[in-house]
Parts: sequence; C-alpha cells; structure tokens
Amino acid sequence: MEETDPSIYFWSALSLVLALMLQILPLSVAMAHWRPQFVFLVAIYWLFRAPSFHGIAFAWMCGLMLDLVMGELIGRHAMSFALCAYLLRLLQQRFQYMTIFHQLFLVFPLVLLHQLLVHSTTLMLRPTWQGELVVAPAVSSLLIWPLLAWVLAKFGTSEAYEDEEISSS
Amino acid sequence: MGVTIKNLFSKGASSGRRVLFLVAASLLLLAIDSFTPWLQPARKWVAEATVPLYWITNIPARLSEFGDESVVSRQQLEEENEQLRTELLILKGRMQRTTEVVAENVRLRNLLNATEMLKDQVLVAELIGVSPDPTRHTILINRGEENGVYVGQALLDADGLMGQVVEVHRSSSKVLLVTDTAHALPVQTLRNGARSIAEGSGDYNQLSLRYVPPTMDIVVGDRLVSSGLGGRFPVGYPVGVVTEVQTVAGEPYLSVKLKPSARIDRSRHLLLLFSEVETLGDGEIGRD
Repeated sequence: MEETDPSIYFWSALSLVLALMLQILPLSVAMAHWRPQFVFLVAIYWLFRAPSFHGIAFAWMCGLMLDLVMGELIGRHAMSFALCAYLLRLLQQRFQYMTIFHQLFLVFPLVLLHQLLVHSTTLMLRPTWQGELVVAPAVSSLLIWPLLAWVLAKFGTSEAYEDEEISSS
Repeated sequence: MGVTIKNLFSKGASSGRRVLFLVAASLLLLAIDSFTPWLQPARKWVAEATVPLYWITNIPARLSEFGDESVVSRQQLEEENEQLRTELLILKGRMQRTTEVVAENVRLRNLLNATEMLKDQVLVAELIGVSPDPTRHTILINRGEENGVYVGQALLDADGLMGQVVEVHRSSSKVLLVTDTAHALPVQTLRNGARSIAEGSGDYNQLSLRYVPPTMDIVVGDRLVSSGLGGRFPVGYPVGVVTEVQTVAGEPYLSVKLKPSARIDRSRHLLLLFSEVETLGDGEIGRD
C-alpha cells in the first residue's frame, strides 16, 4: 500500500492542477453552490494514499494554491487544509483499511468541517451566512468521492500496483 | 531520500507542532492580507500566472458561444439581420433627437456658468472568468494595464452599470459587480432626482436601497440611475428598477428592492468607461 517512488510528486502536482481548474470552472449560480471541493478532496486523497510523501505541509500548500488562484483572502483555505490534514493524520490508521463506502463517513464530516472553517473566516469580513453554502458542497463532495478516488488511483500506478490495490480494498 | 522524507512527514509528536506552526502562519497571512497592502505585488504576480487557468476553464463557455454563432440556418440569419436593421433605424432616429438635446444641455449649462461636461469613451471588453466563490461577485475581463484600465473604472453592459474595476493586471482586470455584498453606489431616481445608495445583496438579480426615509417619494417602477456623487461612477447610467417598497414594522427606514438593469450574470461582452472632464469653450458651443 505504501508508495516509495518520489515520482509520485509529479502525479500529485498534476492532479492538483486539474483539481484547481475544476474548482474555477465557470458554472451557473445554482450549480456553483453545489460545486464539490475538488482541491480539498485531491489533497486528502494524496494524504491517504502516499502519507510518507504528503503531509500536513502538503495540504497547507494545496490550500495556499487555492487561495492564490481564487484571488480572495490569502490564508483562509490554507489554514483549514492544515487543520483537516492534522485530523486526518490522527485517524490515518483507521482510514487506510476502509473500503470506499466506509471512507465516505470520514470524507463527509471532513469536508463539512473544512467548509465551516472557511466560511467562518469569511464571516469575519462580510456578514453573509448562507447555510446551504456549507452543506451543499459537502454533499456533492461525498457523491463525487468514489469516482475521484477511482480516477486518481490510475495516476502514477503500474498495472501491478493497481491490481494489488483492488484486491486490498 | 525516501527515508529522510518519511522521517520529515511521519506522524508523531512533531505533527502537532507543525500544524500549530502552519495555522499560525495562515493566520498571519490572513491578518497581513486583510489589514495591509503588503501582499498586493505577490497577488498581482499570481493573478498574471493564473490567467491561463481561467482562460482554459472558460473554453467550454466559448465553445458553446461559438456553436451558437456559427451553426445557424440562413433563414435565422436573415431574420436576425432584419431585426437588427429595424433596431438600428429606431436607434438612429433617437440619436437625432439626442444630438439636439445635448446641444441644448450645453447651452443651458453655459447659461449656468457650469462649463464642465463629461465626455465618455468606451472600450469593449470580454468576460474571461467568474469568481469560483458563490458568495463573491467578481469577474475577470480581458483588458488590463496595457489598455489603460485603472482601479475604480466603471464597467457597463448594453443595459446598465455592471460594476467597477478593483484590481488591474497586465492584460486582465478584476471587476467587483454591483450585486456583491461589499458594493454600494450612489443613485438617484430618474423621476424626481431623489438620492439614495444602492447596495449589493449577494443575489445577481437584486439590489437594495439603504436608509430610505418613509417620507421619500419612491414607488415601484421608478428607474434609478447613477448620481455621480462619490466620484466613482459617472452620472446618468441606469442602475435598476424598483420592484418592491415596504414599510417594516419597527424599522426607521423603508425596505426598497431593485432589479439591476444590467444582465449581471449573463452579459459576456462589456464596455469599460473612460470618462474625461472636458471644458467647453464658446467655439464648441457655437459649433453645436
């Protein structure tokens, strides 16, 4: 299960760029409310898959990139990413041996926590609290996680590794 | 290599310290960014670097627009052409009257010794990106420093005021829309010139008026234009139409809702306004 090849950095960087693009893809107003937190999901995926290469610092950098690309306040996503990554680290041992279905029970609260943290930092600046903006992305992230995990499993893995992963999950 | 990195990122006692450090760093960044302009140069540089990302993600929208424009039947084109001709004729007819009205206005201003007259020039711009955060109403347009865009410049669409430029990059700029909750602009009603302030509501189809006393003469259907007070926006551009006037029990002010004139969430082709103050001499008035 453990990754050993440093080339995994290339794949995580590539998936991060793709996630950033999905995150800023123009959507209609109604759809934008339901946009899954792609960057967050990709970050926790790599934390889970290659923990020896991707730590809390990696998550923090993902958050910082998201902040920079979104052009909003710098640091609000970074903080939330780091905190969530730390929580994930505490639960890592359990998370590793879960099936995709079980992972959902961890992904949902994590995304929800992330949304809450990000929105509370926004709240300090502008008093616009919209509850559905916290819950809707968490729900859509939950729904997209199995697909995302399946696609990302193909990133930087040889056939042999993939077979192994399938048999272990 | 693998081993050192493993040690570096392994969970343990240092993990807690690291997260504390990173959270502190984020809070510091947040504080610096919200209270000082120190991060502005970095922000500008990053915005330049992320423009290609926005450009790529906007390809689907461009494609659908391209499809709409180039895959049309001959009959449809002819119909559209006919419609545009009629529209042009009507507008030209109106223009004739406008010329006369402008001349008269200049003459009257001259009588009042107010020799300043605003002359507006426009630059066509195109939307290249929308804020990914649904609580934030900002857009990216394809004009920047190269085209002489400046912070505070007004942006219009065909129907009314859209917003103002808040950040200028080399070849793109960021525009804060009038519907953003952080935006407010001075307005007046076209009917009687009553002044007020229109605030964004966070909803693309709604603005609200602030501090409207219950005695103010404002009714549903009143059209509001920019009043030019505050010096940001030029006078007389349509802002919205009043859709609701309500007295709220226990509140000292009326609750007034507007529908923005501009098609805030639909327009892709926009106009940047360059207003310059022009002093009119006698010769010019004579010429008119």
